[in-house]
Amino acid sequence: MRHAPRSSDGATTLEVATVMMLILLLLHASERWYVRVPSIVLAASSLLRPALRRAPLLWLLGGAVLLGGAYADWDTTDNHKYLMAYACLAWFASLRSQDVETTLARNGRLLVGLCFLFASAWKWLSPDYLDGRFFHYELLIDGRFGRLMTFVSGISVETVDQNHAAVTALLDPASTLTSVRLADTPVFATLGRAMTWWTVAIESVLAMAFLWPTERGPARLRHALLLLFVLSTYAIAPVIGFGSVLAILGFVQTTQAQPRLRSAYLFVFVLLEVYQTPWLQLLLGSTA
Amino acid sequence: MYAVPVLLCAVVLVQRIEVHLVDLSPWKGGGFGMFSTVEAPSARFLRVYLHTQDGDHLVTLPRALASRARELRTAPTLERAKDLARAAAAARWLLLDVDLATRARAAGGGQSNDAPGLDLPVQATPDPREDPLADSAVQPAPRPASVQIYRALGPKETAPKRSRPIELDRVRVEVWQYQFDPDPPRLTARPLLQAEAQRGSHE
Repeated sequence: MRHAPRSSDGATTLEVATVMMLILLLLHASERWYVRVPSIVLAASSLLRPALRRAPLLWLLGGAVLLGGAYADWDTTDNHKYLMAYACLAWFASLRSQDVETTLARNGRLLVGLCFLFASAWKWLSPDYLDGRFFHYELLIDGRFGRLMTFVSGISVETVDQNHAAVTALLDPASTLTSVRLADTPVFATLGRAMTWWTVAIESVLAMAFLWPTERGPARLRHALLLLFVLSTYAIAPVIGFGSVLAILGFVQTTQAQPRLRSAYLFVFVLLEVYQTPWLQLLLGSTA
Repeated sequence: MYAVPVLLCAVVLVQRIEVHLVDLSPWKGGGFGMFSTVEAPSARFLRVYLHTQDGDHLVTLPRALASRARELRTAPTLERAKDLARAAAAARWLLLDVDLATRARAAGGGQSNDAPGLDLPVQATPDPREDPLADSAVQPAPRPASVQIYRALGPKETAPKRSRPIELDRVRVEVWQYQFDPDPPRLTARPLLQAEAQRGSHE
């Protein structure tokens, strides 16, 4: 087993990335006790006893717990839980290899590339995505966008609430409604189209950049694109676990010669936790 | 070296097949189809009817069946719908009279003896919202003084006061999904499938 040389701050990429993974497992493994408890036990043990972090079995167990949870809760598990499980298994595979950091970097690159390849493929193949309907709908009814839209479009909080009430009425088990109308302004459709093309474009380019076989061409944009995606996407839709695992898988591909890039990933990893602050609510206060 | 990326691809392939074969929502199953379509599990919903001598009554499923209901919404198959209908038909259903004033007081901090564990009002006076051709946004319906609620008892639960058992013939479970039409902006639901189970059929 060969490890990379230490950087000026005294920690290798592997060591820092491992701590990031353990923090991720500690904070965002699952809401289900049968996944959360073993994940916390594994992560906390390893944080307190560094020798455990280098035990492949620990990472195999972590991956198995996460994948087992995803299998048991197949109807509710979000995609980033699978990605977290694959990341754990990538650690397991890397720690058993001759060149740990190279193997981890290659796994990280492929996992990020494949994740975006399939995410963008779904969007290119989905008719109600490509015509802008999906994001138009999301902006109208998704509570995560509600306050943002009151800020951007000038639509009132009451109108946002009215749309939520309409959806609730349709979904009510006592309801026999088959159709409800939603309040709208032209800004929703325009912004929805912009989000549609921005998302599918950046995801497609990310897939190409991370799956590019050499370090030339689009591969040069890998880190800039990934950081841009994580910073922009999860500020609006704060799926913190997803952003964090992407930041970790990006970080494992950095080298000792890229201290600023490593710092950028670390900054983003911490910032994602800050994203959980209801900043629009605090900023807009009573006006939204 | 490549075992983990291959595993990712294998899960995506299985998910894609399940989307095709059992109508699994693209959002679930580890295929990275989130944020690609309106067809999330949350856009699918169930309508469950008790068929009695008095007619069909829309009901809320008991909490004990929530997990099966969620699975049905995520991957609606006839078998899952039948399974849920059988489970609902096997439950003990009651018709409760609920005084809304009492319930409001209970919601204010006290407890109601009328409807412990009550989830949602299920069968009230006709609601003007139920006109599918209504083209206006939803308006609140006038509140009646009391409502009659169909409710399933839990396995060890005793029947509350002001309730009577329901003699049901069968249960029908319908799975619906809404889609978004942008012009004019509206959600329009269509039935995906339905299944029935007779009272007394094996769960």
